[in-house]
Amino acid sequence: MFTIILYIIAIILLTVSFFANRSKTKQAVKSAFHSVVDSLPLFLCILIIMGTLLSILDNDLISQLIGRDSGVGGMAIAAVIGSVALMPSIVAFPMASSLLDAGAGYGQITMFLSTVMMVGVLTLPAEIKSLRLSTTIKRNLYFLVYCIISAFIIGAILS
Amino acid sequence: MNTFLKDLKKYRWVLILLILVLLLVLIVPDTGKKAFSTIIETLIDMLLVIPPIYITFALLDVWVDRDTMIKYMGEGSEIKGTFFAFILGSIGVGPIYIAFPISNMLINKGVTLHNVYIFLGAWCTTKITLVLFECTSLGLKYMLIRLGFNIIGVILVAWLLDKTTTKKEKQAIIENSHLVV
Repeated sequence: MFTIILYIIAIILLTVSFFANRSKTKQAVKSAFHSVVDSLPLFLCILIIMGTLLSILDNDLISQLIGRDSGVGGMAIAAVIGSVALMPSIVAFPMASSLLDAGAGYGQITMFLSTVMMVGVLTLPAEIKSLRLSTTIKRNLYFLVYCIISAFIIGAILS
Repeated sequence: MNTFLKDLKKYRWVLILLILVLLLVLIVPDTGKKAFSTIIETLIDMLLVIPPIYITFALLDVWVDRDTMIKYMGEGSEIKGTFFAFILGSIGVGPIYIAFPISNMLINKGVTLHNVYIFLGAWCTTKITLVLFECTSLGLKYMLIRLGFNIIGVILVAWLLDKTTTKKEKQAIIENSHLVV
């Protein structure tokens, strides 16, 4: 549904731009095309690894690892899984929801969701290419620490 | 012929990984097939989302000149810059690795590194699509709590990154982004 809105917006913008200035529009399309083609090999790699990870790390396995009473250990595992795993929110949120039903605590869920979104081990190659090694490591580290702290706080608030 | 081989070389890791997945299908059929279908599904989703997003940001790149961009999100834009970077990141669609080339474009255009990090942070946590989906999956209260924490976190981390990155490193990133795009 959102994709349709996205396309409508893009087409509207493209059309307006085309009538305003043809050559600028052509330049934009060309540069967009180049960006896609250049990043495709890296994206495909990330995708393949991610798809494979997702098929191994299914709901049952994760429930066992960070489910009921998993405590601090569960938080740690949630952090590790989240940092390494990369999943679209369409997959992550339902998974978190069913984990909650299966007994996981809010702390573990938050840790899992936060790290999935903010910290990316899988995406390191793509990030390093754009933002260089040292900043990439710092960004992921800072976010990881923040995720840990906030997950514990949220877990305490909501328990 | 030469350029074809050169292009093929860029895909060598993709081919290696595909072969590994194929092996997985042969050795552990259930997991392998599930992996394969997940990959195809995500691939289709990604291919659908990338063109309109990249075109939208490419139009932004082409229509907003450097001076305007710097005025709103570059050196000296302070709170205004953070605000706009947040907005820009929140209208993103797609996983974070899609945003990296876009952040390159922003760096090229003169956006401060701090604001680029706000942009990336917003992209991965406060995306509108994400927030709405979280609300429906996990409830409004939980979403709002996490949203609050996320916003604080993004601002904190961006500030921290800005403070702990040397001028030399920042310069290197800027130069690097000229090469990548």
